[in-house]
Parts: sequence; structure tokens; C-alpha cells
Amino acid sequence: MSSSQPPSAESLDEGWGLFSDVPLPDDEDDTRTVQMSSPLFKGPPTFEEGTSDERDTMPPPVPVSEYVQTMMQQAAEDPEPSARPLGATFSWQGAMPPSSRRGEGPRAAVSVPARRRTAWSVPPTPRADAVDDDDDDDNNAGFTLIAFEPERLGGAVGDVEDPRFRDASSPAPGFDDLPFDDVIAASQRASAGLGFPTPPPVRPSNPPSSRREPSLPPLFGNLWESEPPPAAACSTSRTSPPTKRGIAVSSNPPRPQGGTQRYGSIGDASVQPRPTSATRAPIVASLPTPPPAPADPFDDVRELYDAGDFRSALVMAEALLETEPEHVEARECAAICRETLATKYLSRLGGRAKILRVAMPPDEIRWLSLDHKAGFLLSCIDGTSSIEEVLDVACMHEFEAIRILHDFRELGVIEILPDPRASRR
Amino acid sequence: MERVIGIDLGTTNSCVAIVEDGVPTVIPNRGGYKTTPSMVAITEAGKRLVGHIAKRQAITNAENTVYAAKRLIGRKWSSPQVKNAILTASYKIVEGPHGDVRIQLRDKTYSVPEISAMVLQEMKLFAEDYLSEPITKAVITVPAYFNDNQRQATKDAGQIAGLDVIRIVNEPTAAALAYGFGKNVEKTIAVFDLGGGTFDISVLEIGSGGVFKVIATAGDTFLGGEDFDARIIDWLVQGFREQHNVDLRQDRMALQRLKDASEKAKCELSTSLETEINLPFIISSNRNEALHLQRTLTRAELDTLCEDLVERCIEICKQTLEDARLDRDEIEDVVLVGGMTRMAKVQDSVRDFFGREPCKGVHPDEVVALGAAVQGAALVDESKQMILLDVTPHPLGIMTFGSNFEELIPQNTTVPTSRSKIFTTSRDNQTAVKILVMQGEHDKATDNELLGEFILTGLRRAAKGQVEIEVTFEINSDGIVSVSAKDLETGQQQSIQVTASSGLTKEEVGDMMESAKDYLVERRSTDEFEGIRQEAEKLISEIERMFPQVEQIVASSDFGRDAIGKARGIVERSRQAIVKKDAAAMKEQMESLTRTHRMFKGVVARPQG
Repeated sequence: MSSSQPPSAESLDEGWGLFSDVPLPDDEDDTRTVQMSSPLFKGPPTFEEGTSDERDTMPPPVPVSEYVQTMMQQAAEDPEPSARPLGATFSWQGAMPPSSRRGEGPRAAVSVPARRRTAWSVPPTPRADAVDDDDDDDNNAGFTLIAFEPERLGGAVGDVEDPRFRDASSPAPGFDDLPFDDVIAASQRASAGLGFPTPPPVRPSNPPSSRREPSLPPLFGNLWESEPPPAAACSTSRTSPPTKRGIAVSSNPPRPQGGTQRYGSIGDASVQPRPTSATRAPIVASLPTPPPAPADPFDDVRELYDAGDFRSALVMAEALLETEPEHVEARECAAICRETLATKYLSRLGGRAKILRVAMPPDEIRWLSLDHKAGFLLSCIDGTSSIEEVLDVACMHEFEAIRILHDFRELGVIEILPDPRASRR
Repeated sequence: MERVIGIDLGTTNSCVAIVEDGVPTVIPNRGGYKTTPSMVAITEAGKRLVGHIAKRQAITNAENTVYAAKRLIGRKWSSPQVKNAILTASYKIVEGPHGDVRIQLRDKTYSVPEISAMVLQEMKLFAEDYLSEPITKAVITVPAYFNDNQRQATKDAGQIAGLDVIRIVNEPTAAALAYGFGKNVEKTIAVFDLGGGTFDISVLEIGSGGVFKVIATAGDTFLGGEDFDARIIDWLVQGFREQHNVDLRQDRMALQRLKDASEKAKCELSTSLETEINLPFIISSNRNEALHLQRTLTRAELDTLCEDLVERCIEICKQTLEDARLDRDEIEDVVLVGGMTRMAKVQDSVRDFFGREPCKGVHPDEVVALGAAVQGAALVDESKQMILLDVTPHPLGIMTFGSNFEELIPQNTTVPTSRSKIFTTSRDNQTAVKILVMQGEHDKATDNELLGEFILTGLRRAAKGQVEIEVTFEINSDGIVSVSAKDLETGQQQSIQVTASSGLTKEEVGDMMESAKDYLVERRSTDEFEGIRQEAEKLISEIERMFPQVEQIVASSDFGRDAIGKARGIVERSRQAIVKKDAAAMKEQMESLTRTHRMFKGVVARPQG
């Protein structure tokens, strides 16, 4: 008997080489839609349902070198913060705070040593996007180069390694999250002698869903430690973590702030967040911080679902159902995700009437990382049976079978033939 | 002249044939195969699967897949065969309202003729697709040993399937018909039928003028190709366990693959000396590591694995010839029937036993259906002279004092026939006798099958043994058995006509026929919709592909701009009809789609200035 034979060295290398660039099914995942309205990016890529690849990893729209060059030029030519594009959307994944990309004088003093700057990276997040490591790499590729050249960028690169402010689960803020308008308005008021804007009222603490409420960008931490702002300036909606200096802390977490360079140009007033409320926030330094409410595990599922990442949402919902089988929302969400994904996968497979054929030689199939269910489903594909028939024969949960078939196709294991019976009817 | 199809309703596979321009031809199924597994399954979604598709999921959906329904057809719930089937079948067998057998699939209970009707209906559809005309008449074959109830149940199955079964023919007779078709032979032949689930051996006499007479028949209803597959599965499972300490039988998916692979390997070894069984990712180990099965099976190994099975076939042949008081030398030809007779070991054993090369002039899988088609054609064509003489498959008799079975009509008696025997009373002053009509081979009456009973009264009071009663059995050419008992002294007479019963009432059969018709209508409607849907999707796809080009062309001209909007509307409406599965709306949109497609093609093809 020669079952489960180990591969020979030659064929092993050859086999791995064949699939080195093929994402495995489990690794495949949706990532965020990336839209950029920056003048650097012509023709923003959009996510289209029904494209051949579910992963929405955005390749750099311009070559990296060109991108860096353009950024540097822009940084040199455009020192005024107001000239920057507002409202642009960045992928939070791997995107650095925009202001950090531009070296601007006043905050240079708080920049960290160069050796630490090379550690610029967005902390890994538990988002579904993180499932696909390849995607992460792709997304980061266009930005990390900048971090490796801090001096050329004016030495204003933030350091996310600061332990006091680092939140591993916190995503980097996006452009649209930055309160540029508020800050500019505040700075204008400050310069016009209008005083500080009224801070928003204190709100109860939200669950520590770091993705929803990211922590402060790191440069704030550096700034505060070295230059504590006036109490009035701090008695706003700043949030945890509280500093050792006892700065007033609101339980209302701020919106993610992208960097400090913009604020640097307008002095301490820059730490004033959006002046949206007429009531002044109380000084709450003496009050105990209310304990954080227990996180609802379904929040993550809901967020993924809202983001359209049904696959990850399903995985998380199923994981949640394992521990809480009676979780109604999770069950409903899982059902909807399954239905949506099944429709999507079937659409990509061309419909139930399409006939499947194995397209990969058996020797290569053996090197795929399949489980016995996938192996069984593969054995049902005979080049004459339609998808409908394969699903009937498989006797598996239909969604599971469709997903495996879809993944087979993505991997090139199978191909789809037109249904010859259509013409016979 | 109306066409008649011949159907070989087998235990494991069925086949349909027809005589076209005087030539018997097998009709392939939709997959192009000439035989269709006699399997029916109901999926989790309630969908009915028949044939190959049912077979391919038979292990993974074992509880809801019926195989070998032929072993149960026409049998009573109390029969030993049913008791045996309950123990071995993977599907649930339950008792019917008339002491018959029912099969539970998902949440519904089906009678056995109903299940067989599903297979017959499928065969009917294949024939209708092939001939492009409706088919209503059929000749169906049954094993020679089938009793009247089993034959009647088969007829009922045909009726439920929408077929008028004009004749039930014994399988060996049908095989002999195909064998002798177009030849003027007068021979005594043996039909060696080793199918998927059963083995039958029959000796026939082909007389002059197309007279076919079954001299003897016997067999084993639990010996067939599946047993050979099982040996290969055992071999594979054992080897895998030795190597990986994993029992593949514990996983249904693995077992299904083993079954399929074993059957394939067995078939391959009929033409080659060795074959490789390669089943990657057959199971995951405890460490979640995928395990593969890869083994090479040689013909010699297969012969060794199945030696005893072949031997059993030969033993039955030996016994049958002895029963028929025939010598091997008297067999002038051996016709091989059934896919398993392709196995070299089987052919060698048959050759050795009968001392002659078996006939290979007929297709083993198709010969029975071809014979049934020949018989069907002969029945509707009065110009064809063909006489079929069937025999009684089982001895017929009555129960006598002490629960003994007294045989009146021996096994293999050619019908029509009539036999009488005189009996006496067993007690003093006995004024009535109860006649229990039975069928079977056993000396003990209770082991045989009760066909009917009646009482003859008004006997003269006398000492036991004084009153003589003549019992007469008569079987007409339609196989209907009449039994009469006559007091020879007074001439008083009572009789009974034994009517075969499938276990279903006429009303039940009628209801089942309606259900089958409804299913057929629904299925045809689904098929029709599917055809339109595919055509529509093709057109939509092509129209959408041309949209940008057409838009560009239209944009540079003052004409046809509204056509783009209209075309989008048509595409949208078609899509909605597809989603809603609205066949009527689909049909309405098809014309618009076709017109739009034609228009777009014309626009794109027109040379642009």
C-alpha cells in the first residue's frame, strides 16, 4: 500500500511553487473598500460585486516610488494645512495618519528617535481583513517605505510603539475620521480671539470596541507627555488612557485623530476637538472613571456585516454560536450571510446548471490543503454533472458545498463548462 | 401502430429498449448510459432523485435512498424476506395498512410499487425523449421465480408510472428471446444471469416456430455484483486500517467514495490486469491531517477475494441442472446476462462448469430489455408469430393434516396447466374441509406462502378417510390460478380464484397514479423553465456585453438613444422573471430579448463611419 505517501523533494518544491501565489480558501477574505479622492489617485478603485476575486486589496494606484516622490514633493511645496485635501478616505489598514506624512516644523520636537521610526506600522487588528496576510502586505506596501525615510519627510513620523497609547486592536484613523474642519475652525477662532470651542458633553463609556472607537493617535501621547496642554484645553472630550498628570479625562472616546502635524501649526488649540456642543464639558478629573461595559461579542459580527464582509461575519457569527447557541441575532446574521454568500458564489460559478470539470492534474491536487469533505466533493465532479447534481450528490450542507466549489474554482482546481443539456431541451 | 417499450426492471439496474425498424435498440438515459440504477432517493430539500444521481449519494444519504426495492415488491410484511430486509436495509421499512410493505423516506411513506414506479417513470421519460412521442405500453420483465403477487405488484408499478403493462415476461425468457432473435434455432440453453444484486440460472428450450419454454429456474436473491464490490471495499478498509489505524467505514463520505471506486476498479479489471485505486483526501486523521488512499488491485487479487462468490453461483447451477434432471452436456449454449458476467473469473468458471465457451453474442446488460422489446413488438404486430411458454416458478398445493404441504403443480410446470388430486377427511363425522391454497418449496405448509383459502361444506357424515374430495388446480395462460374442491359422492363443489394482490387497493393505485402525473407535470414545467432560463441568461449576457459598444455608437448619432433604455428595461424584467421563476413572464420576455439581441448585433456589426 502506498497511501499517504510523502512527496519527493523535487515534486515538493515544484508543487509549492505552483501555488505560492494562490491564496488558500481559508485565507481569502474581504477587505475594506478603499476609496481615495486624493489628487494622487486617479480613478478611485471601487468594489464590484461579482468580480472574480472577492478580496478587495487595492494595489497602489501609482508605483510606490512615484507615490513617495509625489508625497515628498507635495510636502515640500504645500506647507499649509488648509491646502490639504479634506475628507479623503484612507484604508485604515496600513494607512498612516496623513499629517504624519508631512514634515512640519512645530511638532518636530516631539518626534521620536529615528531608530524607532522604522517601527512604523499599524498594529495588527483582529478585523476580518487581518485574516488575509497577503492582503495586509499588499496594503502596507505603499506606505511603509515612507516610514523608513523619516528624515526626508521632516522627521514627523509618529511612533505607534509608545506603550502608553498603543492599543493593539485600534486601527489607524482614516482621513475622513479626522476632524479637520473642526480643528481649522478652532484654530481660526483661537487666532481671532474667540476662545476655545465648547466641548461636547460627557457621554457614558462605550464598550471597548476598539475598532469602533480607536484610541488616540500616538503622537498625542508624545505631545502631552512633553507639553501638557492647559487644563482648559484638556477638559474636553479626550478619553482614556488617563495620564499620570491627572489631566481631565472624559469617558467619551474621541474620534480617531490622524496625527499632530496639522495641529502643530495652530498651537495648543489644535487639541481641541470638534466644537459641536454648546455645553461645556465638566472637569471630571476627580471623578472615578466608570467601568467599561462588557463588550457585546456580536458587535464585531455586526460591524463586519455592515462592512459587507459577509464571509468574516459568518465565521465570527458561527464562532459566537458555538459558545452561545441561542444567540438569536448571531443565528439570523449567519443565515443571511450564508444566503448572501451562496448567491454570490453561485453567481460566480455561473449558476446551478453549469457543469463542472476537474481542471487540475491529480498530482497537483494532492498538494492542495483540502479536508476530506472537500476531497469528497471533488470526487463528485465528473465532467458531466451539473452544479445542481453535484450538490444533490454531495449531501452536504448546501452552503458549505457551494463555498468549497467556489474556492475550487478560485484555486483553479475545477473549471466550468456550459450545460450541453440546455441545447437539448 | 403504437410502440411498446421493453423494460428490464432490475434489482440494481434498469434498462429500456424498443424495436425500431425491426431492430431492437436500447435507449440511453440522459447521461448517455444504457442502464440506469434502480435507485430512488429523496434529498433534504424533498427533491426526488432517480438513477445514477441517487446511486452516487446512496451512502451519504443512506436513510433516504431506496435500493433493491425489487426484493420487497409484492411481498407481505410477515414474509421472511421482508424480515431479513428490515435487518439489512439502510432505509426504514414499515408495515402497510394491508399487511404489505412500505418504505419511509423523510416524512413520507411510500409503497414498494410506488418506488418501482418512480424508476419505471424515469425509463418511460427516457423513451419519450428518445422517440419524441408519448409512450403508454410496455412489457416488463421479472425474475422467473416471482410469484403472482410480485408480478401483480410489478404491474401496479407500471400502472402508477402511467404505463399499460401488456405483458410480464420472465427475465431468462426475455434473454432467450433476444438471443434467438432473427435466428432459427432449436436449442436448450442456459441463461446465466449475474446482475448487481441477484443471481439467476434458467434452462430454456427454444423450439421451432419461436416457442420458448423455461425448463428450470433457480437463483439467489442476495448474490450479485454488490457482493463483489463489498469484497474490494473490505480489502481497502483493512489495508487502510493497518497503515493508518483509521477505520474508513466510520465516515460515510469515505465509504461512498470507496464504493464508487471499488465498482470502478472491478469493471476495469474485466479488461485490464491491474488497476489503481486513488482516493486523495479520503479522510482526516485525528491530527487533522488529510490522508490519501492509493492502492493497486490486480485481477488475480480480485479473483482470490471473490472466489467463494463465484463458487456459489456454480453450486446453484449444479443444483438447478440436477433438479431439472439435465446433464451439462445437454446444454447447447450458455447465455451470459448481467454486468458481472464480464468478470474473467466468472466466465472461466462458467466455461469450466458447462464445458463450453459461453455465448458472447448478446450484450449482458441489455439483452433482457432487448428481449422485452422484441416481445412487445410481437404482441402489437399480429403478423409476428411467437409463442411464449412460461412455467410456474414455485410449486402450488394445499395444506393437509399435520400442517404438511401437498404439492399439486410442481415447480417449472408449463402454463397453462391443470392438475387434480383426491383427498379424504381426517376426522370422523367431518362435514367440512378447509382448503388452504399455498405456494412454495417447503414440506411444512407454514413455511410456504398462503395464496387463498375456502371451505367446502355439506360433506356426508362418515368415518375419517371415507369421504373423498377432489381438489383441482388450474392455471390459465394469464397466470390466474383457480382452485376447486369437489365432494365426489354428492358432487357438491366449492372453488376459489386466486387473484394476485400487490398489497394495494385500486383506490390507492389510482391516487398514486395521480401523484405520479402531478410530479411529471411539475418536472416538465421545471425542465421547460430551466431551458428558457438558460437561453435567456445567454441572451442577457450577450446583450450586456454589447451595451458599451452600442452606447458608444448610439451616442455619436441622434437616433436610437431611447433604445438603450428600453433594452435595459427588457434585461431587468427578464432578470426579475428569472429570480421569481415565473415561466410565463420569461416566455413573454424571450421575444423581446431575442429582438434586442438581434438589434444590438446589427448595430455592432454595422460599419461605423
